[in-house]
Parts: sequence; structure tokens; C-alpha cells
Amino acid sequence: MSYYVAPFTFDFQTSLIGLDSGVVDVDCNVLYDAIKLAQWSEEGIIYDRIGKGSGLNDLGPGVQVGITVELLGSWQLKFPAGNYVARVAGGNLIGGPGGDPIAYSAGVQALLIQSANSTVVTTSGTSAEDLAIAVRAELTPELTEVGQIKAKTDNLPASPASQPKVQEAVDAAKLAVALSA
Amino acid sequence: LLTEAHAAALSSKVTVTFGDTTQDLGNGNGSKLYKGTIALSGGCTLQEAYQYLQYLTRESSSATLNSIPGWRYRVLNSAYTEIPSAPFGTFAGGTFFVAQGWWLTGVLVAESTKYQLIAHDGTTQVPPTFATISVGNLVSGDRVLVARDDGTGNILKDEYTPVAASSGATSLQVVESIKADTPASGVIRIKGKRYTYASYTAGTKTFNTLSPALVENIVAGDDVFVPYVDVATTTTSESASFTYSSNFNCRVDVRNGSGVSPIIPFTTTISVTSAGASVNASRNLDV
Repeated sequence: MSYYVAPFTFDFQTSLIGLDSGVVDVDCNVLYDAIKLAQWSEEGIIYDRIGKGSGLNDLGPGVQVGITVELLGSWQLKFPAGNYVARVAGGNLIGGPGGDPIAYSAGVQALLIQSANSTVVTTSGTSAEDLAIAVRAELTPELTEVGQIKAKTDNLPASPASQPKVQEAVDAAKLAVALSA
Repeated sequence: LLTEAHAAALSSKVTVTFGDTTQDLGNGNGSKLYKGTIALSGGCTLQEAYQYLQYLTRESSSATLNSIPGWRYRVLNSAYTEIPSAPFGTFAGGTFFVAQGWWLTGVLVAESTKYQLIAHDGTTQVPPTFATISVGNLVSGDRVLVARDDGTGNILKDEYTPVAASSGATSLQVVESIKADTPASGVIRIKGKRYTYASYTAGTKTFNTLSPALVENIVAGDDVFVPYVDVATTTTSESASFTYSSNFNCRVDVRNGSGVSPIIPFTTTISVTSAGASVNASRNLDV
């Protein structure tokens, strides 16, 4: 018996949460939403709970305590085998047999990003594009100055071939100074 | 009221019909032949029915019963033993002991065990005790499971050993006798997958009319169990009725993992007695 909710496949016989091929990043919030659906499903209702979540307490407008997902029993997250680095972020993932929430996968280096004081910041009413435009407008003076500096540095001789000519000019200047003295 | 007028007024609530009828009281004895039917309606109690039937056979009765004047009617079948003082049966201690050969319908739920029959073959038929398990405090979308407990707080998933069956089959035979307190129809989990059955045959130990048909081959090692409730509810409570046999424990699970109103999975164990059992789900919001 298994239950699928992208990108996770919950195998109730093996207690493994498989990931679709190519998925290398797992967000703990997305994982817990999937766990809740799997436990609630027609397939999952006859089995014990997969995990429990805590956190997400409100700290103020748009700010919450980060989520902690604890895998219960022998449940583990399992990435497809391959040579890559997998990351679990967006909260804390704990539990699993022996306190190991991630099952071994050949060739996979799993990076479990944990935090003792993680927070979640959410925005509402503003799209990512709008945010980008606002940030750009705020930084316009600095960007203009950077552009001017870049223009000046672009005019500096960059080729080693021009260095003898510079040296000749310096030498000529020194000679002129000596003769005038 | 023990008056003749009151008894006469009960004529609209009691109907007596002569003729063979084969009925199963649901007590495990199977179908039995009866030679007539007494049908109650309109909230008629057993005591009222008894009063009216005595009225029909009073000394001054002008009713006709099976072509016999009521005052002279004594027994349903000549092979039966007569009870001249109570041709339709006696009433004692709150129980209606119906005369031989009569089938009784329309009995109030509250009196469902307050009578007994004698089939045409002379066997006494005692109605079964029905019990109900109910789960409340639900909201639409909750998935509810009530299943027999294995003694450790877990679901008894290997309640039955299946006889090997092929994909596409619409019935499933099991090795063990089907428990007497199994719902007459409902859900059966075969190898974890949810099916419904329309009936079961105790004699052949078979669950009938599976829906859908088996989606895979089943072997003896596969788990089979019959939950009492196994549904995604659309209302505020769910229940299941069955014939009480003996006390047992059930595990109750209520879950809702939707994005709108997810709850922390509710799990508890309840004790089921002849009075049934009921429990309300605790709804603690999940993160």
C-alpha cells in the first residue's frame, strides 16, 4: 500500500517516504502538508501516524516560529540513489529510527539544515516581481554610482602590452624634471 | 387504557394477515417458516398489540379471523397447541410471548428484544440484541475508522485468513467463521484495500458482492478485516449497527489532513457492550 502526493510517495509497508527522481530539495512545511494528507487518506487511515508537527506559532505579522517535523515509528525520508547533494530545509526534521530521519541512499549526500530558532517570514499582497522592482528603486542611487565607477575602470588600460608605453611616459617625465632642475 | 373502546381504537395500528411467510429474525438461526404475520405500526407497543389481539378474540367479537368468527378463533394451525385464553400469545413481565406460527413486524426499537416467537417448526426464536457504535463531533471531510482492537491498542488487521482468490472476483471466502457481530453489510479491508460487501453467508464463510471486484490476487497470507466504520464522512456523526454477541474493544481513528481544517489525528480505544458504544472526536488543530 502506498500513497502519492507530489513529490512524495508514502510506502506504508516499508515506512519510507520516497521522493520523485530529480527532487533534491525538501521543504519541511511541504513535507508536513504531505504527511497530513497521507495519514488522512483511504490508504493511510488504517496505519499509525507518520509524523507530527510543531511550531508555526505567530510571532507577529507575517512571522512565525519555524516548523519541526518529527517522523514517528520507523518512518524515514529516502532520496533516490545518485551522485548529488540533497537538502532538507525550511524547518527542522527529526525522529526516525535511532533519531535518523533520512534513509541511506547510495551516492546521495543529504544535508539536513537544522536551527534552534528558525522562523518563517511570509508576505502577503505583494508579488515577487513587485518586491524586486521596489528593491531596485530603493537602490537606484547606489546602482548609478556603481555604474559610473564601472565606466571609469573600463577605461583603464587592461592589456599588459600597454605597460611599456606607460613606463616610457613616466621615464620621459622624470627626464624632463631632471633637465629642468 | 384497559378499556374495550381503547382496544378497538388500536385496529389502525395492528394488522393480522394469514399466510405463509419465511423470515430470518437475524438471531443466527436462519430463515424459518411462519404461518401468519402480525404487523404493528403507528408507534404501537407490544402491550397495545396484545390488548388488541385479545379484543379480536373476545367473547362478543364480531371479527372474522381466517374465516373463523373471532369469538371462536383458538389457534393458527391445527397442529399447534391451543391457548384458549390467549390465542395470539401471552404477555408477561413486559414480554410478549407470541403464539406459535406468528411472525411479528413493526416492533419499536425500544422493544426490539421484548418478545419471542415460535416458528412453524416449533423452535423458539428470540430476537437478537442490536448494538450501535457511534462517533460524533465530526465535520464533513473527516475520515473515520472504527475497527476491532487486537488487544494492544492496534487494529486487528489479520481478523480473517482469506481463501486464495483471483483478481476480478466479487466474493471472498475466509477460513474462520464470520463473527456473529459482523455488520450485515459494510466495508471489508482486503490486503489493506477498501472494498464494500453487500452481505455475507455465515455457512460458507463468504463475503458477497464485493465492490469493486478484487483488484489483485489474494493469498492466504494476506490480511483481511471488517471495520465497523470506515468512511469519509459528509456529516457530523457516523455509526454502525450490528448484532451484539459479546463485549469487545474497538480502536477509533478520526483524521482530517486537508488544508482548510486539519486536526491532530484522534485515536482512542472504546469498549463495546450490549449497549453499544459512543465517542466524540477531539478536534485539536494541527499545524
